Amino acid sequence: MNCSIRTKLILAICLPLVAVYVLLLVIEYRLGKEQSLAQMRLHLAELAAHQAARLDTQLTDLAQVARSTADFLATFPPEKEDMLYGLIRQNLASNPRVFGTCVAFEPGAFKADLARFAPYGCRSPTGEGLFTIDIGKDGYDYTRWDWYLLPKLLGRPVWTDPYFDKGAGEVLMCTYSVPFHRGGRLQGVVTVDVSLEHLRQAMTDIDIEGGYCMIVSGSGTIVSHPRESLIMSESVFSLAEWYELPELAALGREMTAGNSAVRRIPDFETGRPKWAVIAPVPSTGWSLAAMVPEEHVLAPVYARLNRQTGLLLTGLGLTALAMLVVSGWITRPLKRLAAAAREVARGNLDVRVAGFRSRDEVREFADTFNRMLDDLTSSVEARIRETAARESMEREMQIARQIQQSLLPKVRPPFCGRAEFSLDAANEPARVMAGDFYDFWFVAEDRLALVIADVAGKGPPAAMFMAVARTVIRSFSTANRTPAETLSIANHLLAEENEEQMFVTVFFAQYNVCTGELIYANGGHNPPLVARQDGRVEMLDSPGGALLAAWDDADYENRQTRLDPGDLLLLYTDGVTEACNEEAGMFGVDGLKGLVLKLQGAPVDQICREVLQCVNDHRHREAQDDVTLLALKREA
Amino acid sequence: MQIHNERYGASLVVRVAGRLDAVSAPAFEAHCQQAIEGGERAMILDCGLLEYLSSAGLRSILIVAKSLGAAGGDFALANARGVVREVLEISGFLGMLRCLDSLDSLDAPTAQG
Repeated sequence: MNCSIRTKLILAICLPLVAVYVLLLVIEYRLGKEQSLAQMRLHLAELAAHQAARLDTQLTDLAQVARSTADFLATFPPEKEDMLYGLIRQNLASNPRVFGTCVAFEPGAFKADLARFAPYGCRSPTGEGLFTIDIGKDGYDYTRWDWYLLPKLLGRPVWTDPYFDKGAGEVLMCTYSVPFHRGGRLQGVVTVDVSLEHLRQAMTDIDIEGGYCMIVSGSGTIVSHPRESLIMSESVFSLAEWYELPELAALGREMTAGNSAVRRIPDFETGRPKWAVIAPVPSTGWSLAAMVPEEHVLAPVYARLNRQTGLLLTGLGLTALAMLVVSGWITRPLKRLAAAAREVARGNLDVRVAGFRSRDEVREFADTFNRMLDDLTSSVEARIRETAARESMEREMQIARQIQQSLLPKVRPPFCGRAEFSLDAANEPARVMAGDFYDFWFVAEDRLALVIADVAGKGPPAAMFMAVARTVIRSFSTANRTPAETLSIANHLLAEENEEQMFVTVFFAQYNVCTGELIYANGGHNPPLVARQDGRVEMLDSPGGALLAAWDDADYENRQTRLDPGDLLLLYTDGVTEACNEEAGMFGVDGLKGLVLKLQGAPVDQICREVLQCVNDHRHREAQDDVTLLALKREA
Repeated sequence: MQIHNERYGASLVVRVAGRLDAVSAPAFEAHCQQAIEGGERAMILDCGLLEYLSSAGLRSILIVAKSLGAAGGDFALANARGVVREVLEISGFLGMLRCLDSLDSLDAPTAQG
C-alpha cells in the first residue's frame, strides 16, 4: 500500500475498530429487537386476555340483570304497567353499563286485549336522564326482530348480533334477551341493551402504547374499533378482501373460531407490519384483538441503536484523533531523519539529527545515523589525506624518474654529424622508474664506450641500484682498462655490502669508431645481435661472465669482433625478447633477429622506434618489464 | 609453480616445476629459507621441470645460495636444460654455482619432506 505511515497507522487501528463496532451494533440490534418483540408479545397477550375477560365479566353481569328480571317476572307476574316501568327504571339506575332494557310480552300475555306490549327504558343518547316508552305502540312490531324471535324460537337466552335499534334506542347496540315462561307458556322476553358506542369508548380507554383494541363479532363483523366508520359496516373478511391481505383473513378465521393467538400482519392501510393479539370473549362469541405497530414496539430499540451508534462514532473519532496525534509524534522525527538523509545525499556530510527527547527506536536510529555520518566523514577525510599523500608520492616518484632519466645520455640524436657511425637508444620503463639503463661516451678520441644493463627488479630499489651501477661503471672505465677489467672492478665494488642481493647484468663494449674494432665483456647480459652487411644476423659470441654484484670474485673475459661498414650492432634487454602474449608466446631472440633483418637498412633512430613499436604490439597487456635498446651502425 | 622436496641421503632436492618469476620467487625463497632454518646444509635445486626463469627467479636462487653458503652449507643446481640452462649460462650462474648434470651421483631417494 502506497501511503504514509500515519495513514497506515490510522487505518490499521480504526478499520478493525469500525468492524468491531459494526458487529456490536448488529448484535445489539438483533438481540434488542428479539427481546422487545418477545416482551411485547407477552405483554399484549396478557393485556388482550385480561381485557377480553373483563369485557366477558361485564357482559355476563349485564346478562345477569336480564336473567334475574326474567326470573322475577316468571315468579311474580306483573299486574300493572307502573310496576314494570318501575322495574325498568330501577334496573337502569343500578346498572350504569346498561344502555336500555325492555320487557316485551307475547301478544296478549300481559293483558288479553293488548296485542303488543313492551315497556322500554333507555338513557338519552347524551347520557343524561332516562326515558321510558312502550315500543309495542306506533306499529313497531318487535315480534319480528331478532332480539325477540331468537330467544322465543330457541327457548334460551341469546346475545343478538349488533344492530341499529331503529324506533327504540336509536343507537348501535347489541341485546341480551332472556325468555320467561309461566305454566309452560312463553310470556315474553326481557332484554338488556349494550351500546356499541359505550363499548368503543371503553376499548379506547384501554392503554395500549401506540396501538388500539378492536372487537369482532362471531361472524367477523367489526363491533368496536377506534374508527367509528368501520363499526358494523365492515368485517375483517371484507377488509381482508378489499386490501388483498390473506394474513388478515387468516386472523379473522382464528378470531371467529374463538382462538387466542399472536400474529404479525400487515396494516390494511399502510402495509407496515403490526402485531395482533387475539383473545375470545366467550359469553358473546366475540373476539378481542389488540393491535400494535411493529415500528412502535421497536422504537426504543432504534433509539438505543442510534444512541450507541452516536457513542461509537464519537469513540471512533476520538481514537482517530489520538492516532493522528500519536502518529505525528512517531513520524515527525522520521521526517527529520529523511530530510537529513536527503541533505547527506546532496553531499553535505556535516548534517546531524539532534533533539530527540524520548529514548526509543527512532532515537536509536538517529544515533546510528549520526555515528554513520561521523564514520563517513572521517573515512572521507582519511581518503582525502591518502589521496594527497599518494599524489605527493607520485610527484616525488615523477621527480625521481626525471632524475633517473637525466642519468641517461640525452643528446638526441647523439653524435649528429659523425660520418663514420650513427647511434641511437631507447628506454621505456615498465613502471615510473626503470631498472634498465644504457650509456655511451667517448673514453678516448676514437673509442666509444657502450653500456647496456638490467638491474634485477623494478621500481625505486632497482632505480637506485641502477644509479650506483651506472656511476661505478662510468667512473672506472678508462682508456687504459679493458672492458673485462672495468667489469671486474665494478663487480667487486657493487658486491661489497650488497645486503639486499641486488644484481645487475651488464654488457660493456669499447668501439673504435675508425677501425670498427669492438672489444667487449659480458656480465650475465643477453648477448647483443650483429646484423652483417651480407644479411646474416648473429648473436655476439659471449664468454658468459657472471652478472655483477652477486659474487665479488667473478671473472670477466674480453672478446673482440669487427663491424664493417653497414653492419649493425643491437644491444637490448630481456624486456625486448621476453615481451609476452598468450597466443604467440615470447617475442624471443628469433623474433628480434627477424625484425632486425628487415630493418637493417633503415636509420638507427627508425630501427629503435620500430623495435619498440613491435614489442609494444606484441605484449598483450601493460608493460611487464623495462624495454631498453641501443643501436650502433658503422656507416663508413 | 609447484615445489617438492625429495631427500637423497644428506641432500635435500628441491624440485621446482613451472615458472620461477617475480610472482613465484618469494614463495620459492621462503620455502628454501625454511629448509635452511630447519638445518638443511646440502640443497640441490632440480631444474628439470622448470619452464622459465626470470631475473627475479635468478635473484631468489642467488639469495638462497648465499644464505646457505653463509650457514656453511652447499648449494647446487641440477638438470638445467633448454631455456633455463641458457638463462643460467648467460647470467654466469652456471660458472659460479656448482652444477650437476643429473641426480645419479647422489644416494637413492629415501624420504619426501
